[in-house]
Amino acid sequence: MKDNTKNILEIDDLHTSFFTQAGEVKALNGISFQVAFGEAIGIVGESGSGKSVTSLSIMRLLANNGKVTAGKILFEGRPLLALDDKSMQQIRGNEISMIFQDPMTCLNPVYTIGNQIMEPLLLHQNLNRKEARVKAVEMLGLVGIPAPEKRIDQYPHELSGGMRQRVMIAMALCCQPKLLIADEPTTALDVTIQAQILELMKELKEKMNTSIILITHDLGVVAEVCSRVVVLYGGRIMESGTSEDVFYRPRHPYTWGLLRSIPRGGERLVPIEGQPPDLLNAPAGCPFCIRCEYAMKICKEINPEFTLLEEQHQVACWLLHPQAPSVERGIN
Amino acid sequence: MENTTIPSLPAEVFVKLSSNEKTENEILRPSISYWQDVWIRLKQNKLAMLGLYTIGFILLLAILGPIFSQFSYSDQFLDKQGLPPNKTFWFGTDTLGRDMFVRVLYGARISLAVGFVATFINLTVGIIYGGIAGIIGGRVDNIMMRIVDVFYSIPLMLYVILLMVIIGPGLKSIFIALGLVYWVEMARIVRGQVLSLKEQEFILASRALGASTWGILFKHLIPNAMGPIIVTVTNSIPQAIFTEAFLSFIGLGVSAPMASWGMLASDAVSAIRSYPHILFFPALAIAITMLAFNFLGDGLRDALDPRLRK
Amino acid sequence: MLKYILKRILASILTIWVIITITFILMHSIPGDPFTREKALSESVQQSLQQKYHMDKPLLTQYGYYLQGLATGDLGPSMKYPGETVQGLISKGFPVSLQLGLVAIFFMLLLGVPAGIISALRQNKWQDYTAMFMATLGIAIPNFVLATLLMYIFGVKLGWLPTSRWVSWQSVIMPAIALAGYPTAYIARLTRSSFLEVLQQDFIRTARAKGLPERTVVYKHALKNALIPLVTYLGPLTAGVLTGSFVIEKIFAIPGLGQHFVMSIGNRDYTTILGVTIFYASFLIVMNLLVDIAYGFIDPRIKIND
Repeated sequence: MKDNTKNILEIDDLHTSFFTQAGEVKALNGISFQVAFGEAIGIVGESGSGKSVTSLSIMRLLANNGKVTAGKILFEGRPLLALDDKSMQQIRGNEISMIFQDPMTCLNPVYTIGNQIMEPLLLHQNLNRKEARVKAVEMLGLVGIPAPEKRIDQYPHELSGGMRQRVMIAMALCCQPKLLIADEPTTALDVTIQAQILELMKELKEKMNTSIILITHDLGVVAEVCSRVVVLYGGRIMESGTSEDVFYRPRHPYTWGLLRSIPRGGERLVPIEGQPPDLLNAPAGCPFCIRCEYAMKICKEINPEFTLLEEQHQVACWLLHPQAPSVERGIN
Repeated sequence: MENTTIPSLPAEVFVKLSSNEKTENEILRPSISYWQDVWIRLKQNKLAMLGLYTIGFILLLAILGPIFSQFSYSDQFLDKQGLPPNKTFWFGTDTLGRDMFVRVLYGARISLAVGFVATFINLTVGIIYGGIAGIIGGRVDNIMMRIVDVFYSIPLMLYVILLMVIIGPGLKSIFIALGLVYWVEMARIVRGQVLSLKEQEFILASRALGASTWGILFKHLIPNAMGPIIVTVTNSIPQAIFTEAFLSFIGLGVSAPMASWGMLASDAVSAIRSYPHILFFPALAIAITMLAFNFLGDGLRDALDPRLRK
Repeated sequence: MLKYILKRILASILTIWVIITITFILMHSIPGDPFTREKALSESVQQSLQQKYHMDKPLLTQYGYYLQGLATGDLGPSMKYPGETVQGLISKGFPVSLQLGLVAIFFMLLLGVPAGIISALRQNKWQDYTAMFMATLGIAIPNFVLATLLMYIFGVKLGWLPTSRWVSWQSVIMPAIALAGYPTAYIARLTRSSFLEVLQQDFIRTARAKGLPERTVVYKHALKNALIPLVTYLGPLTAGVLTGSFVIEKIFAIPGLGQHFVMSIGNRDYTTILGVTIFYASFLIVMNLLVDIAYGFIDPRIKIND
């Protein structure tokens, strides 16, 4: 059992749905995990797996038709879902910050970046304009933007993608939040810039002792930054554990598939066959069943419980049931 | 490490599933074509359908109505001037004792004719001009669009007025004037569509199969641009009707005793103090027609939007 | 930025010149000349008038004289009103029309923009439905229909407002409302859809993620972006008010330029038609130019890109 005081964030059996004209789409179907102080954990999954919805649920930034239907979210022991709007606003940008995928569209084009960075400072930290500006310049320098005193008065379209993402990071960290949620922060960037941004995030994590939730579909990115990994599929957790557990000792067929599909020079790409599940008419049983090459009868009917392997390593798969046949993990 | 007792399960549940068994219950939604989807969505839009039926109804009245009336639009009953609606004269009479009901129906014929014919001319010229500009591209496109831009720098209505002054009044002149001016809107839309469509892969494939430029234009590009074209057409018709009414108001419309709705409204203004009903019915007719086309146009635009496809 | 402005000014001058030329040619393609129509004038007077206005010279020369005249503000004589010059008519009528137009524009912005914003913020609630219903009516009902309706209800039946002439400040109200009808509806719809679109943008989500109160998100971040497309509409809006004035001024018997223009059409006063058309066209092109320049100041993305 996790010790309560070591965790900055605890998610317990979270269910989130979107209510559309066509019906209820169950984006999250019972997610539970914890983030310890100063820890970086990665949430991995394909589009539609529910990873972004998790972060939006935590920040309570779901679209109008989205709602958390069950579960608890505890931030430093405080139940986030019970807070009113005003209290939640005091937490956003201040104690929990978030950065998003596409830096090109995430900044307001008609205000200077200085204006936008200073907003959370003026709001949450009670600084006056002069102080806020000084701090903003400092943050820009911290994230590696050259000539920050000049850049601060520029507009977003005058900066490159990589620089804009740095601005986003500066904006997110300027109030020294305890938790940073990064939703696919490098997906829209060049590979070389990607590496720089990840480096930057690692540095800042050390310096400011910020916990990080890094959401991505790229296992390589996770390996760089995170000490723990959660693998999501179809709104449920398939496998979770330390990075070592998941990369070197994976036990879930989906994780095997993910690892297999990482492009390696000279080898053929091995994709996972099939399409992401239809969350509108979610089937009973394991969400991965249809695409799983080891699927058994029971997989179709009943959703597997978690089996605890090593200390932090959990897997939700019927293959780990003592009665299940032992299988050869696929092509390595 | 705690080990809760794991219940024992019947051995058969651990039998591997064949791929058929896996996909058994998968609910696949039937796929329908784009146009079927458009029609379904349009039908759901009550306002748009109301507009459509209203237009149909007015068309019917305009074509068949006058045949069944005992009066013609020019018959004058000077002893029955300015009568409010009654049993013989359903819409009353105007200042010259003419039956308003029949005149409004004839007005429908003229106004709708202007709407459809002018729009048809604009459609044809616009598609050809815009299509050529789009598919040839480059300098030719540049020059053609500069010309269009000059057109747009002053209100198109001014051109129409000038043309009417030069050509002289009358129904044919209106067709010519409207046709010569409003095609620029259609041309812009078509060109935009062609430009964005011509880079797509199915065009590339077509070329690879040896299709000619003109062939591609007429067989592939234009049919695929039909969506925005239809929406523009639905907006052009009321615009033409409005323009004709406007022209009538400033004295450049059809000649008496022919009556378009604009003419009827224009005549009615001077009599408004004594005989308000003379204005009421043409004005109502114009308003209803414009509203109907508007609702239909909005509905079509929403139905044709691929992003709203379910 | 400067380059952008200069390019636009050059383009405008060019367009105005093209319009002058085309209109000139069109007007002179009508057979006959101004003075043969006046039955009251004798042969010799006609001839000397023709000489004075270069009617006997080839078209190109007349064109040259006309341009010269334009440069000095001389647009020629009115054909219908002996002793009146075209520029005289314009200077008498334009100020009236300008006042009317400005009041109409004031209405439009005062009513249209807030209506659009409220609709967007209360999407699919009763405020939205009411406002959009009114807007649809405004779009579909032609301005002359609206004008005559207003005149009937408030002028004839209720007698609250004067139905003609340009007498007191009350004379402005009905014509201005009639003129403003369609543009107000258009602005309301445009503002609403623009606002809704902006609210979907990623940077709005970023603003909320920073913990900004909803008020700030809407009125600081969304509003400025949403109003930008409105600025682009100002050009066509002025054009609409201008053409609308032809009909409205006629209905309400307001002695503005629009009415003079319409009368000159009815009178076949070709010099006036030519002169006023050129005046209108130039005015609109200058307005469009000003709007383009303003746009460059409002949207920071334009500043650099040209």
